[in-house]
Amino acid sequence: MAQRFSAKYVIIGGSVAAVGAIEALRAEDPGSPLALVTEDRVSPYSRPLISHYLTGERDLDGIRYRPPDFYSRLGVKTFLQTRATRIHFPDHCVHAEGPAGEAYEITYEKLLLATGSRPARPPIQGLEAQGVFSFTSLEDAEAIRAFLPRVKAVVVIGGGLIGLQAAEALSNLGRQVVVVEFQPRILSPVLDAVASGYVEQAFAAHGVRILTSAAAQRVLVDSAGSVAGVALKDGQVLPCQMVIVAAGVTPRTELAGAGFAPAPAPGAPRAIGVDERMQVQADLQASGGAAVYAAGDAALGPDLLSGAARPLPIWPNAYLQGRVAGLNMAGRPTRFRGGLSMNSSHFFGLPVVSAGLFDVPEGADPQEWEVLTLSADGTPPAAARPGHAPRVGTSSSFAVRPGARPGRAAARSGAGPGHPQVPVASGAGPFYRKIILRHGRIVGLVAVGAGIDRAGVLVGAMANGVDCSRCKEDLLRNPGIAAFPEQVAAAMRTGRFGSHWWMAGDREER
Amino acid sequence: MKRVYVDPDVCMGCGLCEVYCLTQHSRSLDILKAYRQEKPRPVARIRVERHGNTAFGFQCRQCSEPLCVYACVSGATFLDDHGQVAFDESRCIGCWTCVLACPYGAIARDDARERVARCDLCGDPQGDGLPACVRNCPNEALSVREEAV
Repeated sequence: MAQRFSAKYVIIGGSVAAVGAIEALRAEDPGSPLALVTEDRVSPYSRPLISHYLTGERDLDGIRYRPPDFYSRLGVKTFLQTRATRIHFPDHCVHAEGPAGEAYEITYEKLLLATGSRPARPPIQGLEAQGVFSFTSLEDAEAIRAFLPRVKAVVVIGGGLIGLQAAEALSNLGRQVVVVEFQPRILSPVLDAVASGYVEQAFAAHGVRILTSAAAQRVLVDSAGSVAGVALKDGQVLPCQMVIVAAGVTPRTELAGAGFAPAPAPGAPRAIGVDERMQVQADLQASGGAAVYAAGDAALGPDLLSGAARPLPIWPNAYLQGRVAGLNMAGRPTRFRGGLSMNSSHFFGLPVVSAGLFDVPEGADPQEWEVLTLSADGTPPAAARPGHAPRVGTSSSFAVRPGARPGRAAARSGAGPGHPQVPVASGAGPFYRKIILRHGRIVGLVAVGAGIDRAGVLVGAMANGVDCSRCKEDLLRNPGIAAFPEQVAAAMRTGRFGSHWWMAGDREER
Repeated sequence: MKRVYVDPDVCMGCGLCEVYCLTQHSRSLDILKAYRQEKPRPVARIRVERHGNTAFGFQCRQCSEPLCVYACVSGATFLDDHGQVAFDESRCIGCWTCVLACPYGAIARDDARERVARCDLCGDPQGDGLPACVRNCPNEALSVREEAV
């Protein structure tokens, strides 16, 4: 017999989108019953920090995203280690199963699906072997840590943000690490060739091998069922005792049901379609009500720059979507204008950021687009080493204004088409900053090293659609709000303009 | 929301606000020691923006919708019980996501300590104590005001 509960608000999921929603809900509606169902066993922790947990730099308390009493302080009735198994939408009822198999039926007025994503399983044989891990949860980090004593060498499948974080942590733990990346360069979904070249150098300098354009085909398993190595498509065999699979994430849409996560267009990712209030579109159409919301990795929200629905499985976007969902659930009409692809990471101390586009799209009209890059000069292009020249994208064929100024850093083009090069600073480490403009507005940013300083000014200009045609070079050289036209700078000094580009609603003009 | 305002017509870009901010956030609270002896050198939370003939000291705007808080992956940047943006530097890992999120460029990187350096209104958001930059601005270009925004 199922135990029955009822709450005005029910949230499924216990990570950042849920936190964004809870904080918004409680600001608007401190008293109404709020229940949360999560498979997690602890209060919200920071998934991006699990590499610090793995290395032992931080304990569980050190990676908590909110204080341990977060749920109780905000009056959230929690069902931890509990899996929502089914939602009966007509009855507004969530069916769930607790850690000891106990059954719950929780009814809601408003439901938020903040179910996140799960690690994708690439078509590689042998992934069930002992010693194969993913790296997105506290439990993953714990399992890896427990297994490590018998590990000398690790193969990381996937050279994205998660895979590289795992690779860095494991390298810092003294393991030999090889990263196998299918694409011709690492971090290809978020960085241009120059920036990913820098990251590759940082890994190489710390003894981590990175194999690009390489495909893992099979995990080799020994007689005890443990990992013995990874065989690549080209026949190469990488001996190892541990494999980290970091081949992207898949939105968890199963609770929404087939009807709620409509079959996407060919090639499009499957995620829960939402409108600008983060309401599940299929639910709206089916019931005419506004009972079900989705946010975070599981939701397919709009991209601010293109307006198109696009998965943006990044931490800040999940918080913003959760916040918008929470405000709407509490009855405060708020529109989500869109998320921005925005990534900040650091590898072996080297900071790398990107936002919006990182290259001019192929086939773009050169009249509309412009690329400006800034790099430290006077040193040889390090990545022009033999056989290792990163490909420079289409940007170099577009108008690039040199406009060199005296000083340590000078603006110049990234590279000519035939001469790919990675500019490197002397002494102070790498420095790189690139902005992409379309019709005088910033639509893309990549920066490395000290080039990331005040990068948010460029992101803010991008997100707010500020016309930068007259200040672009000043912004590139020295990002700061003083570079903007005085009207814009004056509005920014008051704090009234700048940080609510992602939302529209009655809070917007506060 | 309490924040520091600048009158750019009065600011002469002397940079003393940066000096006093850095000192206020040093261990010694002494200008010379902070600059010459403390390693790594403390980082100022205010920055004088200069462009052409204008200059103005500038720091955290205490946004009503603080993107730095929403973007922070560690929880180091958070809203305190008064709704003021607060920062627990022991939780910061120096991922620089807030540097990328802040549209004002008001968050500095303290590279040596692997954490950000950001205005905390000199740790006294609710009291009457003036932030060091305001107290020490020779032109009184800076003022701290509470305004509903």
